[in-house]
Amino acid sequence: MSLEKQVLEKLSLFKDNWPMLKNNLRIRERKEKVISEIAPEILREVRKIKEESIENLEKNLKRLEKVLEGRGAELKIAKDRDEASRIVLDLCKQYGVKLVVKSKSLTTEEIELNKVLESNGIEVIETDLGERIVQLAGQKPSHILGPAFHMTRNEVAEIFTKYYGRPIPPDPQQIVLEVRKEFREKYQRAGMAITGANFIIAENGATVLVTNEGNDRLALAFAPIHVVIAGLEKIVSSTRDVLKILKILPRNATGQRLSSYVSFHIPTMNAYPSDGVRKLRKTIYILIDNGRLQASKDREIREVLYCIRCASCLQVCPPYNMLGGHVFGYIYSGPMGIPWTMIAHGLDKTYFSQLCNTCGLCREACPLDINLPYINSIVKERYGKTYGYPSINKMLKRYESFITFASKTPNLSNKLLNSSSIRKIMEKLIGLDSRRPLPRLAEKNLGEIFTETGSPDKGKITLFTDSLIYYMNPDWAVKAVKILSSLGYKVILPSLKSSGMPLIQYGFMDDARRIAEYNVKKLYELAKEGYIIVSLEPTAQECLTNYYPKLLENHESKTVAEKSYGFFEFLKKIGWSELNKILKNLNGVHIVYHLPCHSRSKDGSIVVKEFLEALGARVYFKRIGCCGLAGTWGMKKNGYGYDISVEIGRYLVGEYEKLGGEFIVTECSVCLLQFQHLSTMPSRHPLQLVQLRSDE
Amino acid sequence: MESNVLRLFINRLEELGVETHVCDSIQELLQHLNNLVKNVKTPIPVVGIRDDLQKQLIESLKKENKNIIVIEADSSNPLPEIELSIGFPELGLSNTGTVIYRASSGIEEASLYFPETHVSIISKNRILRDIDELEGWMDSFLEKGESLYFITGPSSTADIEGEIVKGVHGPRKFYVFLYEGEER
Repeated sequence: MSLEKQVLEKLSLFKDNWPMLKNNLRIRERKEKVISEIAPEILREVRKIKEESIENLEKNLKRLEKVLEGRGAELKIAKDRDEASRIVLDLCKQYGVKLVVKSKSLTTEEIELNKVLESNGIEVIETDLGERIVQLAGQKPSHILGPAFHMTRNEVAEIFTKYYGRPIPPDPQQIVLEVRKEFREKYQRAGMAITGANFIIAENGATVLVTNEGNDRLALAFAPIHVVIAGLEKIVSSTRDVLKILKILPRNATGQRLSSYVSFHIPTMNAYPSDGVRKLRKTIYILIDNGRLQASKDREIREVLYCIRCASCLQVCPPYNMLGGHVFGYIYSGPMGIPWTMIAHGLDKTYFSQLCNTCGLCREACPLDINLPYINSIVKERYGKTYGYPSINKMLKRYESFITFASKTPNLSNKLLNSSSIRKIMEKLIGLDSRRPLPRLAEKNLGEIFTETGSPDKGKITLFTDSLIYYMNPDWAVKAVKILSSLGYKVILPSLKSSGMPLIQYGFMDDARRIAEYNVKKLYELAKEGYIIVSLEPTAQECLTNYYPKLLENHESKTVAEKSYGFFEFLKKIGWSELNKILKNLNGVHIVYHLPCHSRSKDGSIVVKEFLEALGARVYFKRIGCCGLAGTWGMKKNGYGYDISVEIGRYLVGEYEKLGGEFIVTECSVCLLQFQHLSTMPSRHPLQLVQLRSDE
Repeated sequence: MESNVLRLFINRLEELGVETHVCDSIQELLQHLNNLVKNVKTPIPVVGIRDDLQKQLIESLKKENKNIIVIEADSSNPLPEIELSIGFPELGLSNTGTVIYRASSGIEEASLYFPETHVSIISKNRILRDIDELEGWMDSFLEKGESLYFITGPSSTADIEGEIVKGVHGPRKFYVFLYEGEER
């Protein structure tokens, strides 16, 4: 089935129920308090630990090998999935194992171990409840932490009713009791326990397992043979490293300060004396390469090996939350699933990467600050260059030429773009969904109405706009310029290209690099002359501070990033009291504020909310996430973008409308388009709301 | 032992749904334990005994309940069906409400995790503030070949519609008794 069809099918199945989103929102709510307990230095320390673990991988591996040898455990390295499965199968045959109990291991999903064992007559029991549910349903996990998050209790009850051959009520308590009862016998009868490993400690050989159910403990307690299957990147140097990581893993994964069970297993245990005889438990470590060593040498994607599988990126990813991992994933799912699929399963399996809308929330959520949006664009680029870019994306790559052309005759263009027959043709030729309202072009673009203004008493500012403000809403920029000049700044508008975000979004990185080079060259020269760079669109600012430095990796791009501010971030730097002197207050105005994904101030504050409050507005705010439009992504027809985008927006708007307030306010022109399309509440840019006192 | 560390430990345990008792005397502890085990029909394994006070406590308990069996790493009799187990953790962590056991055999692991109910008895003097304080301490056990097990509340799952259900594999009910005992 095509990806587009899979998308539409899943959207229709999840409609109004949103099981993935609701499960993830529940976790995010639990997380809020406990992650704030962790100082940023700890996060940086953990990142460093993972960096060093990958840097010293071969050294740690040798150390581990020596330690395990001394402890009588075996260590086997599997170069790929087939070899890993074969090793396990051979072990089962060697020891006459008929029943294997598995404790959740994403790596065994990666190697699709169950298929191999079951086809050789070995019974495999997934002991994690969620894994067991999907195993019985004949499905793959839809979430790396909640494998059955996509199912309702009724569906789960049906699965167990069929399996047990008697009615099981749709009551999680009852279902858990049944499974508990059944598994007690399985644990005691199993000939082998297979577990994954959250970490393996090189200095003492301990396998560290983190669970809430305790299935790993019971599986291990009774089994005479323990097979640990893990990726090579799970090796860390010391116990100290693990203790540091444990401060952030459960907090970010499930919102717990510590998971119910954390164990440090040393492979010199006496096995359970089921036959009344004391003997050692046999432990075999199978460490899997399967693309990891190559990835560790790949500068562009190396940092995904730092991933601690907390699933924070899945919790916030808007398209993933609408679709789940069966569509937005292969075996690894969600944002981290894109590069991990490339590493473990091959580039050809990353076709689902086009579902990523590059909102960037995954990076914001990642406790290790892995630059997933950039890495995912690199994967899209590699996929496109190898297997061809999707034709819609190739069309939309030329978005700026379309806008420039249309803006030559704005009235005619607006008329044509309003015509349903023209829109149908555009849908067919370009791929823009005809149901998506397009923004109206202004009669004159910003370049035509801008006049260099202000005196440089306090400083000099160069504006960086993006296409939407430049061509559609130049009056907002004019008001921004008036505010800045009233505050004592000279403002200029150099001739720059638009940010190039759609190119990055679709993985046209060579084209994006050319744009970045052009803009950075001009802005760097201005910065050297003492100009402060102020972006009017959050996405433009995101390009300057995140993407351009990654694309160019030079001194100039880093300098530009350092010298640039979002417009409201710059106002905050000047001080809200100064603003109050020149702007009329917003007393009595009730606002629902939407934080755009790309609004990331250097100090981490929610600047526009502060701005509105400083002017006296009453602001209602609920952090949910992306509006769903994400530039041209949500304009792409049907399952390529539009339908997913509308579904994301529908949920968000529904929540906002419950908050009260007269307007939805946001500083991103793209988000405003989505709200204008989906909400009955009026929506405004903050610059539409404010008025200068001097205008009285 | 700082009183705020102890208070935090108790608060965290309560947040996790762990029934916690602070006992002012060994008699009080014994009384609580007797109440808890009096209706247990199956054998009651005890793990982690380290000192004379703990031995005496278990001996006293044995007088009231014949089902008590002490489990050592080299115990070689398989366990029958068990409803409840008792353990003496090495340490507690107040910030997370965690107790830490060491073990070097499957039978100790099974004793801790197989029953429906687990009771941890820990000296107030063995509660640390947070996980960072374990650096160094843990290595001494791991290097010797002993595994370490952290337990933070009852076994739980949220795999069905995010509803938290206790006792999916490990103990569903979890008690912690604190007493004035050994120093760290």
